[in-house]
Amino acid sequence: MKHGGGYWITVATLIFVFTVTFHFLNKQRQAVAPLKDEGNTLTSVSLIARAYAQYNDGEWPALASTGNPFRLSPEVPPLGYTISSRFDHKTTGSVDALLLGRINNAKAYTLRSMAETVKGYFYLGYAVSNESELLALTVAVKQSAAHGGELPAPAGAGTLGLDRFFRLHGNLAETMAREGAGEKFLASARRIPVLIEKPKDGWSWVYFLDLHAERLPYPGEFPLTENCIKALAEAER
Amino acid sequence: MQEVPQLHPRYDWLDQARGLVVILLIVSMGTAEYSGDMVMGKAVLGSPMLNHGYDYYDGWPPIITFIDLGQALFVFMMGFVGYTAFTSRLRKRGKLSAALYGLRRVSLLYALAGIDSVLLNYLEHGEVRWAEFLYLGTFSCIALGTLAAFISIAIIANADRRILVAFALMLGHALLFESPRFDHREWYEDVLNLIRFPFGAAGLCIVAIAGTCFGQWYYSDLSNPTGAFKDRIVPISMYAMIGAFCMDWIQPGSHHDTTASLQLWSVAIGGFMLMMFYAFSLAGFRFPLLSSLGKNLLLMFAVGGIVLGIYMDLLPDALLISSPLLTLLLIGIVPIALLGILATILDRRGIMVRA
Repeated sequence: MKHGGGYWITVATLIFVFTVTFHFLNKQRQAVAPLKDEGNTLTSVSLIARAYAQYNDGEWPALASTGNPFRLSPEVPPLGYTISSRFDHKTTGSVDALLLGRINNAKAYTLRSMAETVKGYFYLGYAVSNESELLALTVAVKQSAAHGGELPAPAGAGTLGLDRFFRLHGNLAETMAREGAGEKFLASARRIPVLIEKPKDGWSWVYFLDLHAERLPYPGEFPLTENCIKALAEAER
Repeated sequence: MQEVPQLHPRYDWLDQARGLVVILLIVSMGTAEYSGDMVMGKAVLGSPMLNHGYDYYDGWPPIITFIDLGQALFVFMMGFVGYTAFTSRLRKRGKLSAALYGLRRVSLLYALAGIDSVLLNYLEHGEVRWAEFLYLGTFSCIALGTLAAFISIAIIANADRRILVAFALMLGHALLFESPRFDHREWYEDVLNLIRFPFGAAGLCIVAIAGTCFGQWYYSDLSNPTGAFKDRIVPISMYAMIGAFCMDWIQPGSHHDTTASLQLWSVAIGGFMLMMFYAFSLAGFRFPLLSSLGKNLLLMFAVGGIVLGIYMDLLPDALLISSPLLTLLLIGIVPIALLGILATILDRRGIMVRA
């Protein structure tokens, strides 16, 4: 190939600019990698509740009747595990469970319970769409002995301004329509929180009823207002 | 589709190269159907090397096999032959004829995409996959690649400059792909709600543009085709291979997102494949079956996609699992033979179905 010097200078310049830009973009990509991991942990935790809903006609798990009510119970079947190190018969440490099979030329991998992981999240159990509803929910939960069904609320302080708190459910839209709050539900469906990560470094991940996750600033808008997080944290004590 | 009079000479060695790409696609249809499940112990039939890597592990970095280059090689060849098809019309019949030809070809490919992603998906799954129809599906990617090829020829007449633009676009693609603002195909990227960018279609468009350059180099001086190979096709293919090697370290090849390294591998392998079949022709060596398949490239691809799917659905899995020899015969050989017979009949009757 015969080309003038200009051609090769252009090629060299392109490669140089590319290399420098690529380096900086790669650093940015590496910087957001932990965020992706955090978001995916939240998604994994949500799967425990979603799997429960799937086997219970769309109804999400009830709040725990003992201990911290706003915590997703890892004892609710199906139990949640995350895949961990390859099983080694010389290991003396405890193993939560084993995944047996022919996996990447291994006979077994260890599974780690999500019990510790779920402690990092608040699970709401009931549908709330703003700060006042969430604060009223924490009071209602505190006053109620059992959290299996709908919870009574002060007039207009329940789910979407109704007089009760309704359980999180895959068919909540239909229930709300029957209760005359169908339009309100449609307007706020994307903002009904299910799981809220305990805030750290001014940020928190939130998983919503429409099955999407968002990383939001704390303190910020509902459900990450200071009052909401404070009320949920107090319920834990 | 219609038969049109020849505007430019056909080259048997080129049809053979196209025929090999068709065979790769036919083989991948069979191996993909019988990928099994390695973890669950469900039988994997056929050679994993002759299947898409993502059928075994679908994550990042992806496993890439030679078959994963098939789609990009197809688009590269479309760019190569598209150059002369487009410019012959431009030269002999004017701009309008060339533009209409380009429009017709792209429309046909989108019509096939419509049948595949809209009609068949609706009938089979009760849903219309618009993103697949517009820019994610195989046919729509080929359509967009064809469009990009024709536009690039019209805008940048000089192949030496056009290849530079193609390489610059590859680098641009790599930078966008590296940017944390854009969503990659893997599901665990979705949690960040990133911007979706059609990396796959864009990558194939770039490969098609590179293919037009190779076409122009070859067709620009038909009195000295060896010179085109010596001065351009082989050296550029070699540079592309070196580039692919380097890119693979920093941004691995991905079939679905057609990353820069996969683009470069396609250009390199495509160029060397052209050289190989050209050398075969100089040595007087040819595979008649490849010629026949290559002459009706698009038809073979479309027929293969629809008919072979039905054929494989009829085969009992248990029978195939019981005998590797039967698997070889029924999945490896019969599909190629069936399409080969069809291609040979069409070839002997002088029928070439083109857009």
